[in-house]
Amino acid sequence: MREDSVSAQGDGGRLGGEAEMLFLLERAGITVPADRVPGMLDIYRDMTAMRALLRRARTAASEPSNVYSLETIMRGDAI
Amino acid sequence: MILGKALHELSIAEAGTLLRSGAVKSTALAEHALARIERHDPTLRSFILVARERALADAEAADQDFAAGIDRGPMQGIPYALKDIYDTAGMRTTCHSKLLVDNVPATSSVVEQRLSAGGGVLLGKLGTHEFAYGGPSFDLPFPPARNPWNSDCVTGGSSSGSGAAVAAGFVRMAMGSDTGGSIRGPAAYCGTVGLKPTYGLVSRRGVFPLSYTLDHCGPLAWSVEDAAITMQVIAGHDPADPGSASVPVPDFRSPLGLGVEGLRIAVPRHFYAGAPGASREVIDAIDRTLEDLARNGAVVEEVRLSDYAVYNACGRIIITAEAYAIHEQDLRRRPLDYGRYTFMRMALGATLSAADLTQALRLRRELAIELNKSVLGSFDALITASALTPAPRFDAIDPATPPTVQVQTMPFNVTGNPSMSVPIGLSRDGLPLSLQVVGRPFDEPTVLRIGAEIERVTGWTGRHPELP
Repeated sequence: MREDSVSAQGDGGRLGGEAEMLFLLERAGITVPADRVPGMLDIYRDMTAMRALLRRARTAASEPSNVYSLETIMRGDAI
Repeated sequence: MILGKALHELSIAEAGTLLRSGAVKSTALAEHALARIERHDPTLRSFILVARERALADAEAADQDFAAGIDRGPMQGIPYALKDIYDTAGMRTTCHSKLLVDNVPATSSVVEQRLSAGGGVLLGKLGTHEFAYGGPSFDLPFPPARNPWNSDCVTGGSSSGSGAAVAAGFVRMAMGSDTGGSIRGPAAYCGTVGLKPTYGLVSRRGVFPLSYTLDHCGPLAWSVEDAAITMQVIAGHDPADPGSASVPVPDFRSPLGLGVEGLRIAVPRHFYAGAPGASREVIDAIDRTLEDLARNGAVVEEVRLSDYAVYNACGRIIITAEAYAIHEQDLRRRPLDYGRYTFMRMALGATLSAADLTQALRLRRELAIELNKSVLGSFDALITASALTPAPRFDAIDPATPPTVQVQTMPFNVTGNPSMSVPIGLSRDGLPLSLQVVGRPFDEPTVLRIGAEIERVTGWTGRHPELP
């Protein structure tokens, strides 16, 4: 059975997160079956709250956990 | 029966002694396990593939080695099974997905190579949540595994078949993988031990990735000792795994039985005691266990970490971004070949920004420092909840939305510390309760030592479900 799909285009009546989510998915080339949109929107809203928790007051010197080390690079080359 | 036990009740150490004395044959262990699987797995659905011929050939080879005086190590002659994301040369590896349903790898994962070289007996491949992510689902090529304590309940995931197979006594040990709790969650729900080792201690090579920087390989086992024995075989540097650490492999069994006298144990009670939905039975069982450990000489003190939600957000964003990067092309080209839940969660990686991931990685460093310097700088270990509730029922899952699992395992994927789920009792409904022991990086021996003491004080070892 073919499932219906939803795109962001022609979706101007939808509010807030749903239009944004569908726009981002469509930009990535992903088609979302219509019956999956409500569940994905719940997850998207959870992720939006999580993204806010990532942002803290920190200085520019606060570096990510995956900063290169020479040892890591050399370990790869040594194979 | 031998030593007053059925063959599947023998610990790996007991079976090893009997195998070496000739009192038990590996072929007898394998045939016993295969018969149990044939009888009970049609209900439990833990196996995707039962490798009968391979198992019997492995067992025969082990028996011949014993007869010839060849000793390949503590797993020689012992049946085990692998989550179906571990590559097995010439044997199908599906990731429980339609996308890989015919995938037969040419080479085995490093873990499988080490277990096989150690004389282990591979019984087959175990169910998982699809790509170790979505589930439990009923729209995949294979049904989800069911909890041996109550087959109406989920096993937890994603190492769902591993949890079920070990709890059911099909194998003493099954390999799982853990990106946000996928070893410790099923271990908690199924009443087994589940050890997520330190990031880098066990090779990930040949295991289908979910999230490169959060994936860990480790065992689910009937007992802490069984897990320790497994670690002795699978741990060690792999120069071809870029995440592998070149560190000495300790003796994992030697600290078992030393007790907890003088050990300092931190407890971030705020993680679980006030968590929405946390079961009173779980909280009370953890409190009782901590009191027992204190009575036996541990120094137990409450500590404060960043909120659990912060650790969880950090891990969730990294998983979503990395999983999406792996599946980007297939999500575009074959979206409906993924299970509903997998697609719904994975595709949302497309909505994250580069800044989101970078902020998560900055936070990850901060949280690792918080745990390892602020807490484990002055404590030997930390104890917190594993699952916040006993295993939920299948009929409690809303088919429209991927289920949210009530486990608190993510922080230690974010920080990479060793952590182990240990059973501590049963709920009023007869379902396992558990807690989580966390150690300093590469200090698995202390984690196992505390786990063994928890088994002793709770009297858990030896409790197993009546199978349907």
